[in-house]
Amino acid sequence: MNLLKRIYKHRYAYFFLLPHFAFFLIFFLLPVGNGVYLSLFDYNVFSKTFIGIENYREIFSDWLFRKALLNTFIYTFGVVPLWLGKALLVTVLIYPFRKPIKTFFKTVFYLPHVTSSVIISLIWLWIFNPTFGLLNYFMKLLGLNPVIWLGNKLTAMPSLIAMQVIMGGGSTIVLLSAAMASIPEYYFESAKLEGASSWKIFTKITVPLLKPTILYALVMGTIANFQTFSNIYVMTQGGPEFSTITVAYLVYTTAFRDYNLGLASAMSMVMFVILVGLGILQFKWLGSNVQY
Amino acid sequence: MKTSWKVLLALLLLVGTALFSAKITITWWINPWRIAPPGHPADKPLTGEEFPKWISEEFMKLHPDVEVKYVLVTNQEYAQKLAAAIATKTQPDFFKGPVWDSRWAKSGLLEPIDDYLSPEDWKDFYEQCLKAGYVDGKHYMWPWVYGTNGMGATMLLYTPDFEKAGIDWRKIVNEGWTMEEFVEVCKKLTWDSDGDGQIDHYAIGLGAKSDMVHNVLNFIYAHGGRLTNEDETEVILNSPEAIAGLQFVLDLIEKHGVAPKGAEALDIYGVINLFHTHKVSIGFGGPYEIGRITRYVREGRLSEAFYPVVAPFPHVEGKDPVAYARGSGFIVFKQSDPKKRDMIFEFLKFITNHENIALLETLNYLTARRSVNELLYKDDPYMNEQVRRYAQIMDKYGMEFFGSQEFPWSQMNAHFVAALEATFSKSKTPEQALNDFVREANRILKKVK
Repeated sequence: MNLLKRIYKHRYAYFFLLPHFAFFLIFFLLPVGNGVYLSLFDYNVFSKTFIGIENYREIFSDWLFRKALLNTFIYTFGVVPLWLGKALLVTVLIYPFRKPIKTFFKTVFYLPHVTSSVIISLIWLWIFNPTFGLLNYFMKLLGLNPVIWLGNKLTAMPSLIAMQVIMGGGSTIVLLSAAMASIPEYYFESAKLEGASSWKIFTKITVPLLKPTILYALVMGTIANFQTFSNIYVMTQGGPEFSTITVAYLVYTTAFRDYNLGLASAMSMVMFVILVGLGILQFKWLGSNVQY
Repeated sequence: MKTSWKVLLALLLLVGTALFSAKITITWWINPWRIAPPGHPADKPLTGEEFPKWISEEFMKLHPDVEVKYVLVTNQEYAQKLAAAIATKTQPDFFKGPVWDSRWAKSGLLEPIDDYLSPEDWKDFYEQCLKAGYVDGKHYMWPWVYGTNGMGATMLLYTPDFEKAGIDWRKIVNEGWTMEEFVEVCKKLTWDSDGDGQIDHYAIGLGAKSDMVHNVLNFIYAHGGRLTNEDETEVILNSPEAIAGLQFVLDLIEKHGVAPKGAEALDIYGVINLFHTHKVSIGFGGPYEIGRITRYVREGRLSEAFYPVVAPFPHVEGKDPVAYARGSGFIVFKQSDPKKRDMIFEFLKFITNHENIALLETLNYLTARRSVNELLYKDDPYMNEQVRRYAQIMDKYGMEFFGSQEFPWSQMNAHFVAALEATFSKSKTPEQALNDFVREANRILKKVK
């Protein structure tokens, strides 16, 4: 009764929350629930047999899934810190400029964000082309031996990470710039009057006050890069020798090449649980003294 | 009472009219096949939508009681779109796409075509085209096209380079070439074109990614390697012959230096691009590839049109060359309404009748009908010669590379590509790479069976 009364009291708030919740329910909760359900079946489009946790047993005993999981971690933890560092550096460097110049740089860094990732991947395929690519052209000019960037299992993953770091971070720069603009100018002025060095100002004022935005970018970046797919699909197809295969790509091939939707669902669920875990960890470690 | 009688009569009339005028709706999917329908301006680029639109409209003119709806699905999204459609029971009535799975036939999702093929069809369609959809004693693929786009079947020679190097390409085209002759020719076709002391023009380009396995498999097959034993119960692609075949391909890059390094990072389009831009003199492909050159020139993607000639793959002394050959066609999903099923097959007969199937000529493809192929390209001596040679090679040496319809090659392909990548990047010897592949392939085979 008490609950009903409270709901009635806040009926307008619930009314306005309802559409959002409905979308959340239809497009997130139901698919996740269905994914959990499907992961318990041997489901291959043609037939559906309940097999309990057999799919989970199978994926954890499969070396390819374990490799894909490891690669996904390497890719994510390779990209996110570098990409966040780059965004932070660019933001701090362009901050002192006048507004039009800042806007110019923000636009330049944001452009790849609004370009199709497939197009970007195709451009980078040409850059990495072993025989006639731009990168090897410069290597030759410098008297260095050409490298088969995407064909060598030692260089393929770093190449993908480098590409993502160079092309990514545009939206984070915009976010960090907005957050920096909200820091009162007198903080910096007082620090300068006290004789603080630029490094001290950066580490003791800028970074702590940007922490909520950094945390947000970190969580979102981890989630996005953990699910990376299009650049793998276009550029390496998981090769060479599965050195760039990621969980998202493996889910795709398992579902749409092998038509094993139950197994693919189980893989997705593992990815989901890991992402939730990573999100919680990030909030716990970095969010402890964040003030919103 | 009188009024109710009139209302009832009117209702009956309405229902009757609705029933009698109800159209049969047929939906079909097709990936973009740039076939020019009759009357299409020669200088107007094709998008792939022209043919399905035209053929659907033509069929509706003949059958006003039928409504045909076509959907153009790109190659990249075909597999997932089809899987999603089957899973949600929203599949089209029939389709022609780059994918199909024999398990669909096994689980009763498809209509067998056997009863709808006329005695003339049985004789006229190539056996390899009919075999493409043969599962558990029934045929499930209505033949339309004969051959792939030539990958793994034939080679294309850029003759000006051959002439520049003093090589008699006509002899190769007419009499074939042994592996040793091929290597010698390749050496002559590899040079430094800008005089900087570095090789920048190669005889041939090789690629290991995705679909390029046709070409490497051709060399392995030509050396006597085979994918499986007779009854497909074991993968045996690590036989001494298979290893020799893969070693031969590797030697083209590493020992003879006639192909650029980096095969492990090049895909089919990368390799074709090397040929289009004359960075190599030998390309992979058949008549379709020649058509692509013309199309690329029209679309501004290539600056110059050129006319390569079709040649067989090289062969081992004393053995025949091999050519990857298979057909493709339309797949019909199970129908509950017999009238509609009949109409779908009527439509397929219409698409593949002698007149309409011949439109594949505009795409530089061979049709699944013997009788039609004899009449193709009559007005174009150059294309006529290339197509005739392509058909001869396919007919004489054509074989299936990837096992029967029930063989789970699609699940093994990634492991074979990994073996090629390991070979070309020299992280494994051909023997180690093929041994690893065979182990994985047999594991998959065991799981599937």
